[in-house]
Amino acid sequence: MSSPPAKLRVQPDDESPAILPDELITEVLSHADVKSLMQMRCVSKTWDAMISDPKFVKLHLKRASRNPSLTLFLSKSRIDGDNNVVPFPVSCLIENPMITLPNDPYFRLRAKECRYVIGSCNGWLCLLGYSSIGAYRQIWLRFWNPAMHKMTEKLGYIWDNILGLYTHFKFAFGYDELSETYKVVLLILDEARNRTNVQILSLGDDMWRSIQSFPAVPLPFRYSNPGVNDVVYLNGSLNWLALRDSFRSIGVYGWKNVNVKEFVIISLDLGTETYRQLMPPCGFDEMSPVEPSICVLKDCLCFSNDYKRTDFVIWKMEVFGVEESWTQLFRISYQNLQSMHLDFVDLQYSQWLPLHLSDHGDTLILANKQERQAILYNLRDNRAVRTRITDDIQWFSAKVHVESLVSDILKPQVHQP
Amino acid sequence: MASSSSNLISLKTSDGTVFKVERALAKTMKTVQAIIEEADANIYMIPIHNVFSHHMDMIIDYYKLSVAGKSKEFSVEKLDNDELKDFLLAVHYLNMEDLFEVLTQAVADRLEKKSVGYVRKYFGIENDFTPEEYAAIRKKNDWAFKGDDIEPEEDEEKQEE
Repeated sequence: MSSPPAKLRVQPDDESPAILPDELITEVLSHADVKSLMQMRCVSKTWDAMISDPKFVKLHLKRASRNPSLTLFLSKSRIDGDNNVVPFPVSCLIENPMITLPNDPYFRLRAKECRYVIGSCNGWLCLLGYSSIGAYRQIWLRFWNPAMHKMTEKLGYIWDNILGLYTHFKFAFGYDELSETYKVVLLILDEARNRTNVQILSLGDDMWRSIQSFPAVPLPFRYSNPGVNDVVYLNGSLNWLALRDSFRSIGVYGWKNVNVKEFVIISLDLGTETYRQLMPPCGFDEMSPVEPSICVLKDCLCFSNDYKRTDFVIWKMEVFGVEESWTQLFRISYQNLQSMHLDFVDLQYSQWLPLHLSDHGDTLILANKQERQAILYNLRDNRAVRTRITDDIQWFSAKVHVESLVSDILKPQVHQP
Repeated sequence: MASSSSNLISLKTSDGTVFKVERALAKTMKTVQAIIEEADANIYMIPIHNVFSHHMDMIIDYYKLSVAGKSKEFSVEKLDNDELKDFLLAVHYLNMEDLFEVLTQAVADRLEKKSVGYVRKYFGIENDFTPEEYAAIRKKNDWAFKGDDIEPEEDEEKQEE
């Protein structure tokens, strides 16, 4: 990246304090927040060019990724059914303030004609909306970078029957680094034909296109809200936990009858658009009534399961794709999570989802599905503390999100005639 | 290639003070480390240009805190903006990765909510927009100027006088 020419500098009036060289200016600005940087575009033409430069945007994104947020999905009003999505810095969450989130219209989804958040990638949120017409629904996507105040039009329209969105559609959002294209993947579960069809929308294209069908049965496959964390984006791939073979009906306590060997992680490479299958850790050798899950912690794929209804175990795949590299990361006894005083829930049957692990590895943020709660678990002294945000947040839909300067994600088709 | 056989390295600051520092601390200064490795004979004293004794004091403070796992307690709050810039330049010269991160973040934090005029002055940047160009770019990014606690532009302040 070319540095601004020195001739645009002026010496300050007073006795000269130091002037920072260009490379230091870039370093300093890469630590600034998006709002400040948007103001600083007005400093000079050179600064405007520098802040918009793709290399700077990338550098800034890399820095921002060290200071992520979680998108808190909640409804402020039970009456109008409008959902809010509020990015909340993890560093602030860990301080555990007792607050109520402000009801800022900026974070409401209805005004954006959307209802759910499918995913977050490079500072952009993939939103989903729909409208019902008789027995049918029209579904669309919309993309929003809250930090940059930028939003796309509605796109990727799909028609389906009125229940489809909740029973057999699964959306996922990711980014292919090679082609620099953002993609949305749609799994369409077809229980009758014992098959899951897959469609991909590359942002910038007009239409969805089919790819090879999904080689297993994605979990969970019934009655999950769009935007619940059931897919994991990691380094250019989308990953789902799945079961081999055929569809089956799994009730709340039916998991015990599933053989552990039927679990598989299906990883879709967003560049080649091909699948690979990854085995869960071999240490996961006994099924329990509680469904296991996958997540990302510290940039690694992780697998979590219940162990004999006494502990919650998290495994980490140290090297992506290398099954021998699964190592046990944590084993947390439910006793230590009991400090939450959950009277009506049998903790051993509730489902936990790790959301974030702090930099120094001492605080783990865990979401509890049944209680719609999150806890901060201190790994040094094994103490759990409930988060004190007073709103009713759907923690199982929280996405890891960063502030980014990426201003445009609809890649124009380069090779159109 | 052999350097001083003792565990202490002598560093001489621009203002002539000699600091004897642990080898481990000297290792965090990539510039110093390079000098040590290049020397054929024992190094008696390494001069560190652009680094003053008050900078070394803070560097040693930071080192002690980070060794104790308390690097988060290190603060540059007491430094004014110019002192912070000077310190950043010294640490940049010494090529100290961690402390450099801390200081660049500290400078970035101080610029948050400051006016465009303030930022220009801080970095010594001349405004090369014509008034029309400035109005246009200002308008385009107007949303970024709204919100709490944002300092008014210098020229706006002058108008009020």
